[in-house]
Amino acid sequence: MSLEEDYDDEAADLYRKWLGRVQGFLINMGCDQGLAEEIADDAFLGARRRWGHVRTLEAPEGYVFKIARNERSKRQKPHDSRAKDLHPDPPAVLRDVDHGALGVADRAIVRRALQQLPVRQREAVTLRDAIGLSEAGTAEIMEVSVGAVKRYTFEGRQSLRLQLAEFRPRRGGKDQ
Amino acid sequence: MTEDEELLISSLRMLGDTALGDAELDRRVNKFKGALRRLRDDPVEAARIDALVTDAELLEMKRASDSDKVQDWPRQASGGGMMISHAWPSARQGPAQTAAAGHATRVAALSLADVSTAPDVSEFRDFYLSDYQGVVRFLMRTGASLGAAEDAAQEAFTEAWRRIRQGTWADIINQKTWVRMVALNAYRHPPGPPQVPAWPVPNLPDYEGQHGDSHDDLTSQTSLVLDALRSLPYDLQVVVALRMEGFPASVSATYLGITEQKARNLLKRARKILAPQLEELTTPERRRDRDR
Repeated sequence: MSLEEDYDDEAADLYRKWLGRVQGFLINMGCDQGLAEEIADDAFLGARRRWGHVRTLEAPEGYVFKIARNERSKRQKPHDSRAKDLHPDPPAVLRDVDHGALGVADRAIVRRALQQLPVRQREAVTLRDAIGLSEAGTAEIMEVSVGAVKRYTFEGRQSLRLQLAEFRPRRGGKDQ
Repeated sequence: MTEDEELLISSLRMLGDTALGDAELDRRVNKFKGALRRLRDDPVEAARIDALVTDAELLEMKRASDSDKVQDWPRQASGGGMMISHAWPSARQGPAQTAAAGHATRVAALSLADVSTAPDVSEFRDFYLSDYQGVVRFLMRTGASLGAAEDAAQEAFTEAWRRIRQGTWADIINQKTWVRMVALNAYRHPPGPPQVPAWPVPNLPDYEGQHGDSHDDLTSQTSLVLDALRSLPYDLQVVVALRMEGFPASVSATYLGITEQKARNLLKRARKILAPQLEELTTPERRRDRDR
């Protein structure tokens, strides 16, 4: 087997392992399913083009996230400032949802709440809490300091808690 | 972690993975392998993906050089390990002396650098020796004077040195592009209070030199070309300088934040402006007229 084929196999393994999370990141950042798939595939192909370097990294998936983040930003930046208009406030939209259906609607509620956050906070919360990356890994992808990641994550969580308070199950009993 | 936070994070975890089923994942992996094969056979597709990667890398370089190059300089200048900083050319020296003496002193200073705090001096020295003149030349083509170009080049190499010491140098894929971009930023945003911007030269000085192969002639021809380049608007200077360094349009496009087509158009415009100004260097008839 040639070196190129070895590299292809290694890249495909990384793809299999991380595709779901890279796509999840892009969707949480506001991409629709089709765009998320397209950007994720391109990001993995980009990593393959630099595989000689990427394979030596401690966390090669970080490189993929970086390209994906940059591409999303390039293609969607004009929409970032009006994300709130595109994804209205979750309580306003979902206040009338039958609370028995909330289990099904959970993802939609949390995702809509995420869309209300400023881009940096959304990135930090998604990478740290949704994807489960370390603070250092997130800082590397976002190209900011670890301290900044902590701050963005803290502020993002706080804002999400406020937004989602209405949907929190009440203690010791049924939903309202 | 509070109960609230745990609840929130467990909700967010649901969103972290699109959780593709096994069949769907296999289909996507096969599709990806097909795309990998196409990438090998189709140069257009390979160029598209390369441009995407280059964009991400250049953006990272730009952010890095914009954010910390200037602030870190004074701290490094007083540090013991970074002896290159003490070899800045004196303003009292003439330009030629400054260039030669400054360069020699900097190379000597590098060999004296504290090896215990310098993980790979030889790697840096090789890079410095092979690229320093190239970076200065590149900056002069974007309108910098010799002194300003040397100052900015030093800042860029200082940043490169810092990265080598931090162990992040190998993460930069295209180091030659990186050092030129950092140098260009350093030239455009020098440390200290904002400077009066350098406006393009409105009229070119009369060119009185004779064409030939002597050192004087070559010097006057070079200065004619540099003057012509300085007369261009800034964006045009950058695309021409990058092109002269052999970089494709995608590099200047990313640096200037424009499309590749616009970068190519700028290059075309620059060539149109430069052609009449440099005509006498290229037209044999005019050369003969002058020689008479």
